[in-house]
Amino acid sequence: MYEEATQDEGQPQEETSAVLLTVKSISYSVQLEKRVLDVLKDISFSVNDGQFVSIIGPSGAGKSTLLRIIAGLVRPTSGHVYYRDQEVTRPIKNISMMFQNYALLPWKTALENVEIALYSNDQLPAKEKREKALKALTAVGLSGFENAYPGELSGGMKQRVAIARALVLEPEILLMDEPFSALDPLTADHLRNEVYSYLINPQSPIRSVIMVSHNVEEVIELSDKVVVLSPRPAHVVGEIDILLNRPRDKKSFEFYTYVDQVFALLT
Amino acid sequence: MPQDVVFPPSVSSSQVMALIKSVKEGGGKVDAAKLADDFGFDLKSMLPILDVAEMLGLVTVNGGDVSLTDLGSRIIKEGTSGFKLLKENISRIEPFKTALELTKKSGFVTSRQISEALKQKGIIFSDDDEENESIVEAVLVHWAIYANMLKYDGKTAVFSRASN
Repeated sequence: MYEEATQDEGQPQEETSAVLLTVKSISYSVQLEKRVLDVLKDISFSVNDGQFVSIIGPSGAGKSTLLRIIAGLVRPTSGHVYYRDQEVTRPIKNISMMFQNYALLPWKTALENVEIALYSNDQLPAKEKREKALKALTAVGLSGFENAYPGELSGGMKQRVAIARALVLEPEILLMDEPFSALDPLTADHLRNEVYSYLINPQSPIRSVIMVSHNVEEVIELSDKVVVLSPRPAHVVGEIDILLNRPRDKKSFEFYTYVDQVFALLT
Repeated sequence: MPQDVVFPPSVSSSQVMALIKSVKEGGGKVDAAKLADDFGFDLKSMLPILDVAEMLGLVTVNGGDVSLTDLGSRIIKEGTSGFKLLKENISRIEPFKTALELTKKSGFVTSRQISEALKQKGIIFSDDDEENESIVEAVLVHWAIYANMLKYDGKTAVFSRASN
């Protein structure tokens, strides 16, 4: 399923020490019946090792398309995505994606849904696949839920199974498409901090996260950097580094200063 | 004869965790209406979550004020892995009480057997038998496993007692 990324000499070498991912001049257009629809226009930003980066923009701006381009699932019309010094032209094992609806198979148990991510790894014996899947479920607090089916789990638990499935691949970069949008406000509030701690910790293989969201408070709460996109055709209207200690106090003046900055760029 | 305490089936562990964390962030005592407002909930939607937090001994509610208990503080510190501390409190609440009684007696029980036993006690979550059964199953899966009270096998749809 996954292939090694191809080498490319065009990637800026001076940035490779700290930069894990570079999005360079990405444009994406769709050919309609009588005209061309420009979705993304000349988008560039980078993600440093250890950073949680969010992409925010209006609905329909093409945020999810951009995430799919980064994942190597969609080819851009022009521009490049680099993971370290390699161009991403197809899905690679070091970049994993968590979809908005979690994409769990309802006829598989929680454990089998995690294990399925390792399906194409022929070199790994079945026993080790199971052990890795169990470890990933335990890491997201779902020990004891191995044999439950997705339909028997709450929304928050389903999300954790999806995270475990991403973790089991041991990617360095995790892409998350609106991960909290299907949850009620209380559940989302609890899971935001929990998810951050599952992903960014010394035991986790994940070095950086790129999240797409339309929720301003959510991105300020979680991110080290926010990339703000304009309406379609989306281009970067600003990048904001969030220099707040964690856990972040959503009621603080500093937090709302950042919220205002993002809103100002969005409107 | 004292009436059975019945668990509101719509409440998830994440909702309860968010609620008690919010009480802590508010200094350990918060007005219930303000709490609901902070999360964009109406008070009616917030009440079952408050009920569960109070049933489990995580908060006390007095005159509209919600106060965090010592147990609530411990659960915040330990996260969902600390839910095993709730085992004793949960085991007094239905449907957990009946599920425990049945697993003690028979070893393995289905959610149908548990919902039938609950029906005998007059505890029904839905008039539709199938829906009633799936609500019982969901409540037990969502809470009793975290509390290290029951084990569940989705392939056979059977609950059994968790080892201590």
